[in-house]
Amino acid sequence: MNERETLLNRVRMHDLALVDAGLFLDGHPHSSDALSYFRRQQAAYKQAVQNYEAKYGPLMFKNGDFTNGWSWVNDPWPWEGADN
Amino acid sequence: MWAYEKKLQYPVKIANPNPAYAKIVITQLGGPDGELGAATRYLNQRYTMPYKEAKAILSDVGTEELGHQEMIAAIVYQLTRNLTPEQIREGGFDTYFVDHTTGIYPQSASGVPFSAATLQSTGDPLTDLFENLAAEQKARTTYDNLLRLIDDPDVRDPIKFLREREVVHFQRFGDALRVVQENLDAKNYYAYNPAFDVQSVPDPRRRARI
Repeated sequence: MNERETLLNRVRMHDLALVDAGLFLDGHPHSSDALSYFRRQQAAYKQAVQNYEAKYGPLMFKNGDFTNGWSWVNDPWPWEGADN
Repeated sequence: MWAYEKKLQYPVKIANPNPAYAKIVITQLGGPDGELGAATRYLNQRYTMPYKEAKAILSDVGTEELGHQEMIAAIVYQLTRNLTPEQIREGGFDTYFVDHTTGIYPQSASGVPFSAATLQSTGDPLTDLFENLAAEQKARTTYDNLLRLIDDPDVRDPIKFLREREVVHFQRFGDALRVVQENLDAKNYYAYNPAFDVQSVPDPRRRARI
């Protein structure tokens, strides 16, 4: 597994944890256990996104750092099966 | 992957319900030139688009269209709040109401349910982009017609915003068309399909760009 894939899988891991915990919290908004789990994952997710984006460009263009130009269009796109 | 933002792209705040307006506005959700069709068209076309600028435009316009579905649904929802059976009958909304109450259902103004038969994804970049340029103009015409029929400024305001976005998207698909054409043989744009035939007819210009 190359570095891009490793960093992206870290984003995916925390993203899935947030999606999953968020769904659970939708139905159990007063669960303090779920909420503290969500908040821990949220911090890890933000860090993972930062680590990925610093090297491989933005995951969402609104949050992107484009000091070196509009890298948003750069290949590969996620459906092209190249670790994205 | 997609993420939901808990906001409308442009605010919808309608003070007075109006089932007659709801009945015609719903066409921009599920009608032949509506926002559901737009998002479906662009987000499915992008996979075979060979050029990165055009992949980005299809992805980003398609994503914005998802937000426009939400705005149309919000308009219809606010136009159908707190209705009495008399208002429903008088507004001609009874034919919608009997099937859907005030639930949001993607259909045309004449009651035809949403159908992917109203759109195309041909796997030919030029054809798809001309389809999209036409789609943006058709949606703009529909918004123009809605503005001819709607007097309430609360409803006109978000409709005008959506109409303007059709014009902007038309311009952006013009950019995408330019990118595709720059990658093709200027003497014969139709010599081959770059999404399918490219292996057999290598294009030196495309290689030079990358």
